[in-house]
Amino acid sequence: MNQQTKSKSSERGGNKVFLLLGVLVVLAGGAWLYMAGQGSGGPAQPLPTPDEFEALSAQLTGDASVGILLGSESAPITIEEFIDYSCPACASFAGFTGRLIRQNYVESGEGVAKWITYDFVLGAFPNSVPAAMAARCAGDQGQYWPMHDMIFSRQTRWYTSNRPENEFSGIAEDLGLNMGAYHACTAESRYLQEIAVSRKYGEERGVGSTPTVFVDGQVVDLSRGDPYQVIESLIQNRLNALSTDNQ
Amino acid sequence: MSRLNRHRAVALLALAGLFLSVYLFLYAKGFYGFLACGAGGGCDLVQGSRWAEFLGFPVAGWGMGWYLAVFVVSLISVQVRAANVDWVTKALFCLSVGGVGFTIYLTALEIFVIGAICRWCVGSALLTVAIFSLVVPEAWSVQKRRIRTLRDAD
Repeated sequence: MNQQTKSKSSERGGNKVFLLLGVLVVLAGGAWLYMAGQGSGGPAQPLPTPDEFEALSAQLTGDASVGILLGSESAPITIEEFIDYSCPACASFAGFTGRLIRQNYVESGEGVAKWITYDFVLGAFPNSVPAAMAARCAGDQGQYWPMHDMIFSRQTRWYTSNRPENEFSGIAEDLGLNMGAYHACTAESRYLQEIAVSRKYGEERGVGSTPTVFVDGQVVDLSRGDPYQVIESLIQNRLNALSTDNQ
Repeated sequence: MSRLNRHRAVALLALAGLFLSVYLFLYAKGFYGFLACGAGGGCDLVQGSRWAEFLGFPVAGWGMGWYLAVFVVSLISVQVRAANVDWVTKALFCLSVGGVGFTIYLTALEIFVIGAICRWCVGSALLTVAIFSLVVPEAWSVQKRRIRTLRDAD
């Protein structure tokens, strides 16, 4: 009898602990789901399909100001690139030639050139607009170029994905961005208009494929040889021409 | 650990798993803009792959149903009157075998087909294995008792 009473009291004690732990799990789980909802920027505004994007772009007028500038505005030489983040050739160009040219002629030395990147979203890739959006949203926090480089370097991880935004968010986290601000930007598709205008601007400049590079308005034939040497020789020619003009 | 405490632990683990699967389900349905996974976390590849759905329904939804079933059965079993009823143990055993089997299938897909591991899926796999390891010894003892009773009857 006494043992039965003890056992019942132990059961009751066990039930109390169980209930308490259950309540804790529910509270922690609920708080976690709530915070995850707050931090994720909520349901993302659906981005247009490639066809819808082309239709949007067709209604707009191109504008050079939507390009992303690197280097000094007053640099004598202007290098412009038109890119699609999903295009493998663009990733290859960005990973080597683009990076070297930027290092050697834009970011270091005398800064003889400025570099302007334009989005030229091709219709073939559904993830190009989210990628361009992620890069521009990172740009709000001064991290456009690291984001640009990392999106390209991890292209194979996201370009066929149904939900590429996770990879972009991960990169943003790695770059130490304020994730709330970043997700607010991507969720409201803040730069959709700019990306569409950029595409239209490319069309107006005669761009038909990516990557397309201009050095002081002259389109670079990247298939003519080693792209780095081709661009470098054009820069040198322009520098020579500029120094002759100055004399 | 007593039978009752094992069932309590199963109920708590199932409750935690339920929240985890609700999180993944809400993401799959677009209520969350992104999944907190970190770069290279593999969630994008796994959740974006065609294996993120099973029989036309998000895998996380199946997970929700499974955790809910385990939670309800284990909750019934922590009622003192039901604690010694064998059907509860059998139901938990069948559920946990199914859960572990499905987890093995999903993990194999992640490793050998998708080539990425999602940390939330790993979390769910650990919970499933923990539930399984709590249920199996009891199912084994029920089975042994049944054999003994049959022998005694002979």
